[in-house]
Amino acid sequence: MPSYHYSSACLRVVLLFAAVVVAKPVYAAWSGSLETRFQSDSYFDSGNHVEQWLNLDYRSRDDSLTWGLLGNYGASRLESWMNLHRLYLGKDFFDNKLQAKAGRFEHIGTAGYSTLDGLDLRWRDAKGGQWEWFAGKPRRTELYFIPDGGNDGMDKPESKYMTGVRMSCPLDTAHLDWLDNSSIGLGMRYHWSGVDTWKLDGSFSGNWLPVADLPPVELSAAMVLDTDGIGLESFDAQARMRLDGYSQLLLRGRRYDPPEAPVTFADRYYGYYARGSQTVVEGGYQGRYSQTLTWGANLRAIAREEGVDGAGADLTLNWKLPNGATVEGRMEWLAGDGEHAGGLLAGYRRPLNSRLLLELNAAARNEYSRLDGSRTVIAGEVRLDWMWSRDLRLRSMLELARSSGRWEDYNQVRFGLRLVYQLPARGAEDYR
Amino acid sequence: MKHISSVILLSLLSLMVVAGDAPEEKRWWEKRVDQRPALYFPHNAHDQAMEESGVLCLACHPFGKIDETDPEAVGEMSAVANEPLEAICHSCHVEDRSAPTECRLCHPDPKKIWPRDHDLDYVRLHGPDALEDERACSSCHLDLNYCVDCHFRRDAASHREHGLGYRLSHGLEARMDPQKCSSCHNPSYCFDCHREIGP
Repeated sequence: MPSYHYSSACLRVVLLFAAVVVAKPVYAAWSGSLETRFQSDSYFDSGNHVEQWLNLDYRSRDDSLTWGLLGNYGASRLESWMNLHRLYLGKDFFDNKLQAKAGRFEHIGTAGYSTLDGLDLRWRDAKGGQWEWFAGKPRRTELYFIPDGGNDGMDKPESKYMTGVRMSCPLDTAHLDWLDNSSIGLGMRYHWSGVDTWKLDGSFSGNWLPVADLPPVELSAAMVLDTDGIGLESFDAQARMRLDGYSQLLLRGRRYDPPEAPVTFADRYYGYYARGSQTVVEGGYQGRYSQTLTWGANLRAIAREEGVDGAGADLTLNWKLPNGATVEGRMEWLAGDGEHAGGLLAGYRRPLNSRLLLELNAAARNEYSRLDGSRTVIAGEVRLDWMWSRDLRLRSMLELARSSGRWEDYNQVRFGLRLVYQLPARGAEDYR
Repeated sequence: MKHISSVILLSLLSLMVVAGDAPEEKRWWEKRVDQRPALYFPHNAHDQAMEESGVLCLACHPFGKIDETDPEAVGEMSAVANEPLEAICHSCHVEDRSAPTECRLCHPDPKKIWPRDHDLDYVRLHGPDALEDERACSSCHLDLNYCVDCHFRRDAASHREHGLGYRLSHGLEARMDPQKCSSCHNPSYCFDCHREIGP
């Protein structure tokens, strides 16, 4: 498996690099954690697995140097996997105005959230403007089992490379009395490997000041243009009005039109399960009834070029009890084309003592589809979060679910554990 | 499998009962936690770390050496007066990361420390903000581990994005709003289960 060998080689480089860095007498700090995750699933084989995570972080303030490693090794009865999510070296130059990062690191852009094998350079000027250039190979596809087969190539990760620039800057709105604290961003991305694609993107954020008596409306929008068909590939806009310190009105619209050549894992997912564009409009209100009781309601309408149109709603409730416990309730409903899915959820969370947090959840759901008929699901869950010692934490989860009404129904028991050990920090006292 | 599940269930319930019936003995200063409901400072957990690093009680309690032994009287005299504590606490928990970095360990109610816009359904709405300025996110979420832990995980032990039981009734939403699914899930994610049980 190439990714396995690649990760192994990277780990050797890391260990060598770590030995060199540790030997260097500079004021710097190491920190990190070891985390073991175990999950057992009584029904799905793919849900039975164990994973070991390692996180290492090194920072030297004197040298403006950062270095990070995050990876995991996992195994189940069906397969084993090794993922290197992060292995990068970062260095700041020119009084931290220029940030350089090389290796494998997380990258957020209009293409979504992914890891990037490559280089990222960011320049920040004194006025708040930022220029970014990045290049490398976006990765995300190796995280789950990739089914073999299929002639359309959709289920096989392809070697895509990407480069792009992006700039953002605050807008000077001193002369405007209806806009405040705003900024815009513009960028372009070029993907190449087989089918080359150009994407242009833009974003905006700011506060619209409607009139003096009304609170400001926080606006944000992001869009991507696909230059192949000169069409709008995606658009996401939000408007939030805070009525007071504890309540808000929200309006959100998003549209996605899948490109002919899928270049991100999100494109690939969408193309695998849906055809045509989708437009979603959401609106909601969230507020406080009293000091201990908050609630919210949301509505959603979905229009599809191909497939099922529909609408949904949800209602949430959060009640804080005097003993530090919290009670939560939620009602969900989604319907379209004669089909529906809905549920009632309830939760109770309470610290048993200073080190132990207990959480109980229950749910009742019903789903009806034309093809498969009706299904009812009853589920319960216990969660414990235990701080064993100052550097050792244990999280556990036990879930029982029972479904009924369809031929493939089953009872399911799922159990999960996370054991987190905080590695002893080295060099931290040098800062004091 | 049923036996294993039963053992695990019994073990977990026993742990709950034991933990619930016999909470750890609190020292007198720990009982004062209610006086500062926005901040939790477990002295037990800090004893060793403070001793190793040479940090004295005087970092937070600017009192001199006293002979008073009455807990109530000492409590009055040793009140935390070195406010704000953020710089002291964060030197280990944030800057050095030599102590656990999870905010909820010390701030039981995250709503008191996070930005106002996080109060209301922010997980669903965070995408545009992260795009606009990921550095702003990392001022609290110290690095992007926080993103990895949610976007790239495959277990359900720490938290869940979807409500309980969602896995058994997700079909309609997956068909109606697949863009939402695709922000976290790979194409093959669905196949992990559906190859076993069919559609």
